[in-house]
Formats: sequence, C-alpha cells, structure tokens
Amino acid sequence: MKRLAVFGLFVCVAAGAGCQSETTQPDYSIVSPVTETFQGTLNQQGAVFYSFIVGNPDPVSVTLASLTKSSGTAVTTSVRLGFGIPAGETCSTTTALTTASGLQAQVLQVASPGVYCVIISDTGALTEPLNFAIKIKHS
Amino acid sequence: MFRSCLLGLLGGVLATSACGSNTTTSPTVEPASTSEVWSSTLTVGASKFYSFTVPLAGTVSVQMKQLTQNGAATTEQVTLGLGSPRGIDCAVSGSVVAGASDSVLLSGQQTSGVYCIRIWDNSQLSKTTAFSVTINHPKQ
Repeated sequence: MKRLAVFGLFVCVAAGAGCQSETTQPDYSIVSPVTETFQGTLNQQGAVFYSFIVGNPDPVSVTLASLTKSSGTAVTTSVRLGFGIPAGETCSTTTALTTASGLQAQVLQVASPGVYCVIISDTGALTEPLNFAIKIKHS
Repeated sequence: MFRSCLLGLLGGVLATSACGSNTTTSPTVEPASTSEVWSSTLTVGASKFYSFTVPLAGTVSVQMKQLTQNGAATTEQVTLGLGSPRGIDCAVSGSVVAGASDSVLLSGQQTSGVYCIRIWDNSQLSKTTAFSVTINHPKQ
C-alpha cells in the first residue's frame, strides 16, 4: 500500500509538470524616447508635414523650436502647428494651434502605437518663406 | 502490482486529457472592403504620395485605371509603390512600373495601420500626366 501511494504521488507530480501553465511575465524593459527633427522651409500659404512611428503609448511632444528668415534671423511670426494622422495627400490633424517658436513643447499628446504626423502651415502671416525646425519627442 | 499499473495508466490518461489543446480551426473570412480613389497629376520627374488607414487586417490591392495627357489616354508608364508614411515621403516596400490598366498592380495581406501609395516618374514621362489610382482595403 505504501508503494502504491508513492507511485500515485509520482504520477500526480509528473502530470502536473506536464501541464505547466503559460505565464506572462511583466515587461520591465525601459523604452528610451526618440527625438526626431523635422526641418524645412515653409512658403507663403504653404503647408508641409512629417510622418513618424510611435512604438509605445507614451506622450508625444512637439516643439516648434525655431522659425527664421533665409538670412538666419529669428522671427516671432506665428504659424499653425498640428498633430494627427497621415490621410490622403496631407496630415489630418486631431490637435492644432497657432504658435510662435519657443523652447517648450507647444503640443503634448498621448498616442497609442502607430503612424502619426506633424504639420506646419501658414495662417496668412508669412511675408516671405521661413525656415523652421520642429522637435518631435516620442517613444 | 496490477493495481499500481492500473493507477499509473489512469494517471497518464488524466494527464493527457488535462493537457489537451482547445484550439479549433475556423475558416478565414475576409472582412468587407472599401475603395478609395486618388486622382491627381504628376509632373515630369516628380513624385507624390497618398496615405490611407487600414482599420482591419486583410488584403490591400491597388489599381491604376487612368493615365492621361492633355485629356487623352497615354501608354507611357509610371512607377507605383505601396509602403508606409515616413518623414516627408512614403517609404515604399514594393513597387511596379505600369501603365493604365484594370488589373491589380499591387496586392498583399496587411495588418491594420496607416499605409501609403507613392507614384513617381522614373524618367518615362514626356509631359504632365493625370492619373487615377484605386485602393481597395478592408473597412471597419
């Protein structure tokens, strides 16, 4: 009887080992944010956009860091800055505002993984083409 | 001894049944599709792209039904590519050189996401050309 009990216990342990349940380990990997720079020239009545991939659902910050004349002189002109999804021949914005260049992010948006875009356009204030630099920080 | 063997056999059967897979195979059902038509013009040596969202995984196919110059059909060819919007352009993963046709020029299974069609002149156009590209993809 003792041998039978030991054998039964062995069978139970073996059966349990054969049925290991799959467990999901928490993902503790640290995702470093990426900063992309979108530089170009904005013409009068013009608009240009830039597409990028968000890999993790963290905030995306967009900073119109500089706006200058072709001579390099900084200007305080306001332009339209938008954040959205590429659609058709443009960037379909979900958030947009009129702003001058600055050191702090003008747009802060939480985005799930996917493809997004930033668009800069003239509101009618430009009297000449301006060079711009936009910093896009995302994960 | 006989009882031990019987118990061992029973244990083995129970272990096997407890580990049985519950997976079943279902027939693949293609989701309903929708069409987007992109009509524009392409100048000599230029490129353009068009972005669209695929809400569900499924087949994406592209046709170029019209290619005209000064209102008349042309046999000249352009290059058409399918890819993803990147930076200020569309990063193409596959392309084809083609003229106007009712045939599917590009096709493939895609996961949900944002994609783009890029059209460009690879030194084959003699003048500005109007085009009409039809994109078929799954709809929500």
